Amino acid sequence: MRLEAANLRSGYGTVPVLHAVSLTVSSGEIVALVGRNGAGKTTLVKTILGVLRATGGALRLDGVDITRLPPSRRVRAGLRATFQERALFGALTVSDNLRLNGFSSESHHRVLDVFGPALSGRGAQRTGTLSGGEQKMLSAAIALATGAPLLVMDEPTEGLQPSNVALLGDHIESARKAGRGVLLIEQHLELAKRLADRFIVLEKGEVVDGGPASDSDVAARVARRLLI
Amino acid sequence: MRRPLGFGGAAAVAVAAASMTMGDFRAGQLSLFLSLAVLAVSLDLVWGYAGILSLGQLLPFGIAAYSTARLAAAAPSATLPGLLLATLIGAAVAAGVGMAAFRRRPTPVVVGLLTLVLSLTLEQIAEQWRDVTGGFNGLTDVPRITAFGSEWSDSAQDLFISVAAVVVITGVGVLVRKPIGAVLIGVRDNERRMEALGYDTVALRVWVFTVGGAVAGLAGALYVHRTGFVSPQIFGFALATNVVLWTLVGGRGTIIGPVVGSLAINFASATLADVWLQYWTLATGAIFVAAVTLVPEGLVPSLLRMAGRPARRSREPRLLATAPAAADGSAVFEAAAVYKSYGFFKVLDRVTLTMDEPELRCLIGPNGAGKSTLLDILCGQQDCQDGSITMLDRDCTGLKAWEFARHGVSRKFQSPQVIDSLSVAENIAVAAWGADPSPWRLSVTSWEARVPQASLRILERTGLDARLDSGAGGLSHGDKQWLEIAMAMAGNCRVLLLDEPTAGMTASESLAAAELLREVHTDYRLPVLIVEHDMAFIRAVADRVTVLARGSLVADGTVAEVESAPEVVAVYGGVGD
Amino acid sequence: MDALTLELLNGVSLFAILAIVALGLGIVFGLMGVINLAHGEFVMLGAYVAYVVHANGLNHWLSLPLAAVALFVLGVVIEVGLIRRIHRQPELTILATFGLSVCLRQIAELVFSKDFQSVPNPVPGATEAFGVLFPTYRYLLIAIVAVVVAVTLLAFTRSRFGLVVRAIVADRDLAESAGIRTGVTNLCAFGVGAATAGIAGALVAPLGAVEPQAGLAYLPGAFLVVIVGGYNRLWGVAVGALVVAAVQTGVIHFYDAVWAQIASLALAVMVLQFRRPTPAGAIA
Repeated sequence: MRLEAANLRSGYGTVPVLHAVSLTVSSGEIVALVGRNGAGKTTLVKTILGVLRATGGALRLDGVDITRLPPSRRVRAGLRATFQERALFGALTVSDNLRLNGFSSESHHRVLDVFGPALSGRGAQRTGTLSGGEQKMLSAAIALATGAPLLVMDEPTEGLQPSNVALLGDHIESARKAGRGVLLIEQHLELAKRLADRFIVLEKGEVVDGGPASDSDVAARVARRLLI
Repeated sequence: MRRPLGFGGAAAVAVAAASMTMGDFRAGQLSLFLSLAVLAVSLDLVWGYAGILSLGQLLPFGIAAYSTARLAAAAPSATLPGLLLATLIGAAVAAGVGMAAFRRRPTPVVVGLLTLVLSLTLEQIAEQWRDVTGGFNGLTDVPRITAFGSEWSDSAQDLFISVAAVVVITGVGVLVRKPIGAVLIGVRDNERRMEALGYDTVALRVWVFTVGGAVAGLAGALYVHRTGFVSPQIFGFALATNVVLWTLVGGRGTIIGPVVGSLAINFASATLADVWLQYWTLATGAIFVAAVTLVPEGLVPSLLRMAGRPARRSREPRLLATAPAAADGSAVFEAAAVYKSYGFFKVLDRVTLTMDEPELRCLIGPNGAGKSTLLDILCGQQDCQDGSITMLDRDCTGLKAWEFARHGVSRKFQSPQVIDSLSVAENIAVAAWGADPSPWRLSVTSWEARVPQASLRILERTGLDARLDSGAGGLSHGDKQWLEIAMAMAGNCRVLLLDEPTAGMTASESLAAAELLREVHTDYRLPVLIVEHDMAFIRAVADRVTVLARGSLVADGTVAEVESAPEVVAVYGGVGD
Repeated sequence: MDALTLELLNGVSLFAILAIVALGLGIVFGLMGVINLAHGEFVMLGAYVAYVVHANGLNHWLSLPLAAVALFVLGVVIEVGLIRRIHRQPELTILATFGLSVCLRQIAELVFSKDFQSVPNPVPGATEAFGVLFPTYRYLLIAIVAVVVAVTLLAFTRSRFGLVVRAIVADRDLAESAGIRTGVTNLCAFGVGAATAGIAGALVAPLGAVEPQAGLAYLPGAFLVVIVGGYNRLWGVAVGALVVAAVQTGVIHFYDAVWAQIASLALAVMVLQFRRPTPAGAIA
């Protein structure tokens, strides 16, 4: 499966945020999208999923135009995203969140066990009472467990303790091995370097740099761009 | 309408001539429909101009009608003073409803619902309170207007009612062309901006609702003299929503629209109801659905737009330059031990931030550090749970946003907030009037605004002074940013707070912005506090930088000092930026 | 003592009628944020279904499922044809559903005439209980309302459908992102809201006249109940109906109907003062 954004534009109200962003993510690769605060990363995630309407350009999934589809249709076509904020229904229980994401009650433990014992057996808890890090884990676990062929993950490691960051890295890596494509928005440069096949740098709503992660020049340039 | 007085005078003469020549039956219809048009105009004032969807405009109308009927029966010779009394009753009813309804800033939907429920409940009360209202059949045989010693004839009364209606409508037309009209549009379009300019929007809503109630009350009195009876149906669903239909179809936000809508639909209804009978009501329902879905802005504005003219002609206010507010050497602000949390999450953990001298200060920090919250607290947009705020030597803790603004605290929001329906010059004028925003004063003053030079300088340097009569809604994002900054400086601005002014700007635009802000700051000694992420902009603009992370201050100093401080490297390295 | 018991039974019966009429509005307005001024007309059409059933010599109880089905279909058509287009502009929703209510009333008048029709009481007579005689049909009505309200509440709190509607209310974008087709769900929810109004109409038909304007009387009460009971949670309808019924019955007992109206109105205004006055989804 291949996700393609061509000259994608979007923004809030009259405020343009993305100016003609083009990128692709294919099965079996991890693309790390990096950029500073306010570069438009979250806006890009929202636009790819369709929560935010594109004001120009096109989004294609395996060549099929999905620019005008509602998010639920994109999800059913194989796209999944985790959001940086408000990624779960805080007022509902953990189990309800899993049910809403299409997991039968038998499969709940499978999702909750993704991060070891931390979340196991906490299905009855109100999601809003989980700690910030736990909510992050849950939302990443949901996305991983759905088996969706294309994942877009917005800062999944933010607020996670180092051991869980490593664990999440392993899961993302095995997702790639299973032939899934991942667009990873990540500030944690070390993790991004470890996982990514390619880098894309976003700045002021435009793709300004990028290239294969194996190229040491690219890695150095990316690092420089992120340091102020 | 460019000259509502001239147009109104001509209309009054035409209506008088028509009333005297068209025969008793038609003259009667005309006076009836014109008194209903007054009701529609009163709704237009509160809905079209101030954005309050009132489905209860019949409350002042109906209560005034009942009062007039009782008064006319009790004291037939006092009907002319009775008209005045009805106006006052209408105002009082609306003021009461407005004060109860608007205090908690309900959404337009809740207001619509509440006023509708009020109106419908009043219908039931009127049916059941027989001693006063005459019950289901209402009060009948209401005498005609009696003055100069005798009860007037039908045709004399029709002439009087028709002309009086035109006079009242003209009065409303004159009112909305005064500065208050632009201010009401501001409240309708952008309440948050208006509060940040010093307008108490709740009080303004109650005010306009009261004025609308007065107009509706007078309409009710004219109506009841004309029809000779009043029954509980005056509060009913049918009339309540028909008024909305006339206003909607004619075009809200114009005065002529609701008048045309009322007259056209009522005359058509009176004529076609004979021919079509029941189908006519069905047609009104269908027209309603069609109007809402096809021409939601109304016929008159749609026609004007097709003719290439705006529904509302913008005025050209005179902007007079004044000296900036004196910098009196006092401390600019002091936020002491400010604490704010959402549940267990501490957004601001006893932050103390002070500015002693007018300077250009930047506030930076990672996402979620509490920067915008602190800015909100410094201008009253949010309350803090503990700590105190002193702005320009006055303890402002717990004051509302408009009180901060009147005290001299101006704020630009993250995404540009201007009043889209007004022109650039009108936006500036409305901002300038915010320093002294009495609705009564703004109903009589001329289109003249005293604007500090700093604000005019911004307009000049950004080229907006050449586009003063352009609609603000059509400006580019960057121009809106500058217009809003100029607006923030246009009132009684003694300290300026800017939230991410370069959002959406390109790198070169950001640097130009930095230059202009420095220039204004230097020339007028205006204290400025800026929340920003863009380090290039910060280097170019800031005297001093304060760093906030996880709800606490972690560093403070010049740009160079802050950039090399280990806390900043740690914070920015860990959380990113 | 007997008089008080009777008063209490009347209060319970009023509570039941208020609850069943407001139930659909609780779904459509409270949960979905759509202000449906044609809700009263849905009730009126439900009553006409009962009238048609009676006119064709069929059993009255048949009218309950028939009204539910007919109104569900009508609700679906209206959602697709009208509500969906203007859902995000609440002011326009108010006006469009008002136009719709006018049309529905007039169509009813054209089809059935303005005349007051009556649906005979299927179970005439009274039952003696608690030491007083009380109409048997009202006992049945209370029981049926209890079942319908309970089933609807359970469906919304226990099944995935209810969970999904709640999720959409909480965060429509997030629900879409979880793969939930919010459009289809809203369609069903609107249909169910209309269907319960239909059941309400068929239930109250034998208690009063069936006529085109009949729906108007139910609208203020229904909105009062939803406002008092609170938006965002369906069981608020039961609470609201209880409070409004208690206030009205109590005030009528001690004063009269006028004061009962004023009291419930004052209640609604007071509730609005103390609550964040924003129905779910009513802000775009």
